[in-house]
Amino acid sequence: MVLSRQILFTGYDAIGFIAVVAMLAGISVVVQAQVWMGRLGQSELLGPLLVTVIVREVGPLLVNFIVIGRSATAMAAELAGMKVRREVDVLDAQGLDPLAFLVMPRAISMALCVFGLAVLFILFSFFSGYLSGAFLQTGPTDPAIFVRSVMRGVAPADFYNVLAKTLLPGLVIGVIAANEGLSVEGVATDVPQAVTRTVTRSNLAVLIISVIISILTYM
Amino acid sequence: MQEQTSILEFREVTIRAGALQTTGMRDVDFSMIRGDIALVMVEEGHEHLPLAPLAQGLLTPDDGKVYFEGECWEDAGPGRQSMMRGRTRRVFGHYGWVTNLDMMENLCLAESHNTQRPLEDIMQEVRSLARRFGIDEVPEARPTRVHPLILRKLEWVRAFVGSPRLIILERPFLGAPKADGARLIEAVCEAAKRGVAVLWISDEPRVFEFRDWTCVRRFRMNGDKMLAEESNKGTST
Repeated sequence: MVLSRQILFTGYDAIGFIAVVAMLAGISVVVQAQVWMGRLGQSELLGPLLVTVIVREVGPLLVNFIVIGRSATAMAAELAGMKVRREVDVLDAQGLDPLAFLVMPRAISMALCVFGLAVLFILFSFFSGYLSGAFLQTGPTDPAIFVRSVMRGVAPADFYNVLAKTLLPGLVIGVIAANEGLSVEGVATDVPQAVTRTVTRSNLAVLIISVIISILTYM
Repeated sequence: MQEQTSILEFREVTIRAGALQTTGMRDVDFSMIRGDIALVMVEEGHEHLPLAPLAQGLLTPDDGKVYFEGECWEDAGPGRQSMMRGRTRRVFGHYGWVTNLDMMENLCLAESHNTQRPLEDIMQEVRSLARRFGIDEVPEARPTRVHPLILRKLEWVRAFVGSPRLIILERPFLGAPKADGARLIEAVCEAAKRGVAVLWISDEPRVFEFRDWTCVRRFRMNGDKMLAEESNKGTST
């Protein structure tokens, strides 16, 4: 029940916003890449460049940041509110372990949603990039050529990279948000501070994890 | 005849008044077996007695031990404690609902989480108990959208769902219509006959003076001491 609701809120409800951001990012990155690669006469490097920028870095990072801003803050505020209203005590008194009932489903759903949203982000980015390139005549009009170009740049390591840069930070974001929310000690004025700490700590954690995974994957 | 199984036992329990509880307790020593009803009368101004959280292992006493079904709360790990609490039910002295769940989810939560019973079966029992307490339809809304009078009676419903070993009632008449009090007392007596131990904490003399209790033991808080009064082993009429 809790897991499905969290997936609905963090994942399904965010698809529209993620699609818009991905489309805009796709247009911006893909069109620029196509223009500059064409000018440099390195059009064959378009695929690897797009994969490097969107699949390895921009996609997972942006999705993590969006999920922090949209869902982790809401999660921290919700749990902090529950703590203030003593609802966590009510759960505990009914034999529901707050860690198992509140924290675990939220952390797991966050990880799954960040992964799913990152995959959608990458697909939407490429799709919008292809459409805008074809429309502005800066890239191939044949979708097969575009797809082949991208696929040439994809290595098996990219798959593991996307997995690691979404599942792991997603889990960490969920744990940080839940922990900050539940650390509030019964005072409503502590709720905004818990939300602020969630944002700063989650952003920092995502960047650190992203750098470490990039180093481990590609060095 | 009820089996003489200890359900709840306080052994020389002392807890000092502090930030979390406004009322302290000293050398509290009592036990409850299956089918026992214990009425604890608290003094005005000392309603926030930490008896319920101690009985559920949510608070650790400064001295002494609390046992539930022969097992000391302090000796049980967090997972075991949750399982043990799953066999208790409670009407809370403070707000007792989870606001992001609707009423039916709230009412079924403990039973569905702590047992293997099908949800539909639990929901049916909830509806039946609600009718017993004068609520024809369980509201579908979340608790913040439900009238406080209905909310209080729904707390009674939740306390009787399933087969708990111990029911703790913290001032259950607070905010409830007086006319419905008899229904709760009747339900408590029936639960006791089934072997449920009931710990009733009240600041209302009418609960203490009610004579038709079965197997009732009366205690009165005098400062931080709990004093036992005469017991009534008669049967309910």
